[in-house]
Amino acid sequence: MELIGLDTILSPEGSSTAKQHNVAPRRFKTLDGVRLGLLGNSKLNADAVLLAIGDLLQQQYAIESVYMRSKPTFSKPAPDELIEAMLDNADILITGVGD
Amino acid sequence: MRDAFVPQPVMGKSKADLRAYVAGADPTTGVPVMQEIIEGLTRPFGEDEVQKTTYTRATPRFVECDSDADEQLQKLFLDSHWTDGLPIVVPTEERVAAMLACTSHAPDEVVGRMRPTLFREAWEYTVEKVAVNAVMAGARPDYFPVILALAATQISARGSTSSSAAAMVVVNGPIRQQIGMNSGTGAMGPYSHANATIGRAYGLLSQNLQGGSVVGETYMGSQGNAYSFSNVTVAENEEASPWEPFHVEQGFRREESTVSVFGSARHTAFTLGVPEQHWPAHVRRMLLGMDPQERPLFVLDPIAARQFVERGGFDTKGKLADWAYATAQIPAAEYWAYQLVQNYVYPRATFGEEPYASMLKAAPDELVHMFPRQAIHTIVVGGETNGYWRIFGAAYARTASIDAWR
Repeated sequence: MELIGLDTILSPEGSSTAKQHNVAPRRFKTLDGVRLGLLGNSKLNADAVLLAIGDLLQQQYAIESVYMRSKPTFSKPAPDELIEAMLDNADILITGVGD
Repeated sequence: MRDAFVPQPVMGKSKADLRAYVAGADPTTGVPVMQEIIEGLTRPFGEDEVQKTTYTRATPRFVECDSDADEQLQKLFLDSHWTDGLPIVVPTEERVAAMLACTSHAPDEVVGRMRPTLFREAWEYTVEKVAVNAVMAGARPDYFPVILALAATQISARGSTSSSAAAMVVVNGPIRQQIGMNSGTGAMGPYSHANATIGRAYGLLSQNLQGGSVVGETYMGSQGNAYSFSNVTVAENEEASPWEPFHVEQGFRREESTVSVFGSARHTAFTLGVPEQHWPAHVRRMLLGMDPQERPLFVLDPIAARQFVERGGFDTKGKLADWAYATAQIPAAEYWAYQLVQNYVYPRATFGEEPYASMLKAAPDELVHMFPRQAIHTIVVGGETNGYWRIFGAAYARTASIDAWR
């Protein structure tokens, strides 16, 4: 059945402008020679998972360097200073959440 | 975004267990975790992945439905995740207009922006959108300034947190009598139309104005929370209280009408009265039974409030909070072992923030305070049928003027 607009019943939803998110281009076909960034969410176990991933990647590839930082608190986005530091020190970034 | 999952839980697992998770398979796909990570970092994006980065989030003023029969409309609202699961009052233009007539603010005035978590984009809403949700909750038009004030706090009653937090709402000032709110017998229960529908409206407006509250997407509360139906919406019993009303403590005048919002409401401890013997030990145990990341809110029947004045000499709410702060102490090793303390407090301590940095240096058996002093609050609610009282775990967030929305 075709939907008809009911011009007497109002919608309860708030509004948000249309938005575009951009994905970081995949520049590397191999991880040999890349600088790896690990961004923890400040939860101890999530950081342990990230460090394990870093270790396993280093066993498999000739990773140039590993740059590990944690956010001051997991419930807020990373501060600008931290994102800038990641951009300066890493070619690729892995982040993780978990308790 | 590309992601890979390790099994749950990671909480409480050793480093060796976690390493085994990473070396194993993603439980959602069966593919090795490391293979997913490596491919995620190296495989170019496909057309379908790029398309997913564009969002259209225009919301129409009117709903679309193939029937205007009540049954069909109820189904539409339920299926669209616009309700709390209970039937709603259908928001016709006429009903919404009646709501709008009870504020001096224009329907298209922007009230605020809200989101279920800081990682999501905030959505914006007008006076009219708040009115639509107020109608749905069954609120009477003269409650509308209270509901607008709640919307204006921009604090969501439907956070997405896996901890199943609900909100709590305390109304103070003359509006309590003007709209018939209950601060006496049964105040926290379902018997007051104003308490019930204002609290429900706060929940509905939160989920609909913030961009949704859908289980598994924008609501992740692992156990859920029955407090979320009403957001424990009460008026303070200022008349029977031995102390200053809550809004006066927050710097408002007694004759102003306000609404105060508390978050993270889950825990409740309960007892009868303040006995002559051993009451400090009883109340201490109630406090020690909380998680240190909760925030004690004493909710006292006037009888219990007067007993606290008599037994403890607490002639202000602040003195009761001082006592609770000094009493709620546990060994440092136990404090730092709490999972939520590790999540929230430990990083702040390592970044040097006091008093946590000093608490981190404490010897394992040295006593530390469970709660910050300024986070402990008291309200007086109840009809004096008996001296029962409770400690809620609820974090005070903000007090907003209701008069500003009349």
